[in-house]
Amino acid sequence: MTLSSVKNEEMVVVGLGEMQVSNDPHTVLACLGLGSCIGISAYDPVARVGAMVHVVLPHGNVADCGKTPTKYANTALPAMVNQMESKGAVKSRIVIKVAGGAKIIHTVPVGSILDIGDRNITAVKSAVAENKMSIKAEDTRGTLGRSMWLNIDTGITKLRTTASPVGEL
Amino acid sequence: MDKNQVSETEEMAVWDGLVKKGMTNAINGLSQMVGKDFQINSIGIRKIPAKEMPYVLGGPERMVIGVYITFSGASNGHILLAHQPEFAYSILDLLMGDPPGTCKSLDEMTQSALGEMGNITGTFFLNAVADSLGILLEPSPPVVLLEMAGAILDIALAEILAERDDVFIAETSFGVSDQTIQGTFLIMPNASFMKLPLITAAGGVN
Repeated sequence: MTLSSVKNEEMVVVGLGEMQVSNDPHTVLACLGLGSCIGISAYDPVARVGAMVHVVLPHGNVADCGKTPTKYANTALPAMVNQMESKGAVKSRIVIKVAGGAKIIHTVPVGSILDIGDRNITAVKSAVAENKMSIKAEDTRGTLGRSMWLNIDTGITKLRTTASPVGEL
Repeated sequence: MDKNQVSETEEMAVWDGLVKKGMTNAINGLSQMVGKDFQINSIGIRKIPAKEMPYVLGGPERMVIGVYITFSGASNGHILLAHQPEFAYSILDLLMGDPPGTCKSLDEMTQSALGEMGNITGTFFLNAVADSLGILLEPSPPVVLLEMAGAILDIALAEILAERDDVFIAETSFGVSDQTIQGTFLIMPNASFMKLPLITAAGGVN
């Protein structure tokens, strides 16, 4: 798959803090231009239900997490699993892949509070573990922007970075 | 004046004049530095959902060269001077006194030149706003990035989205008359920034 082969009418862009869930085989979900944000791709290969969420921040306060759970790493995953289950997915079958969490500003000290990408990926991994799930593949941290696509028909997750062409994650 | 009772419409109206003054000052600074008369094509302030921000720069995957600055003091926020790479290279040719088409990539010297350009436009903007309000706004050192627009904007949007889902932006596009050079100058302040003119009018900051 190349970028140009993803027909616009089939591609659903998952914006900042948003989530999309689909069982339409003609749909490709996409998180584009990820920097410090995290794209989580989830797919049940039996039910052929997929989801993608575009996480912005590691944690939110209780009120905001309740209003927009998909914005935060600690609440996005449970919200995504719930939505997938409502379309027939089974939690134990869901395959999770993760991309993003880059430190685009090179001068930000690694692991500092300003390194939101690092904090995001740490929070996502904690959430995955707390929900007794696992990450099958990831392309995270570093200093490059990324885009990620999930094909609902095939369950294949593709990724490209600023420095590398599209490939399977 | 009770700052909590100030409507968003009032905030935007007060900011409109200030932003235009600041943006005009910034583009004048750019003209002085480059030695070319840059003209403002459009200028304005608006509030948009955060998820739409990357489309201000042509879409989340559009490669842009951005000079990113934060500011602090009486309030905090983010400034981004963004160009499509070919336009940034054209500006660098002007800055370096080279024939058009000479610059084709960024190296240490051209990154430094772009950083200084962002520094001047950002400082000119902040000085105009700060002088008008009688406050202090200090810019950070500039960072030059060649990246996807979405990835660059993540830096500012992560901080802004921690406060709210909409982003207030001040934007201007500019160019020169005899050459196709365009750029976008974005101001993305934190929520407290919007209250500054009304608070200072009420004597609250100084």
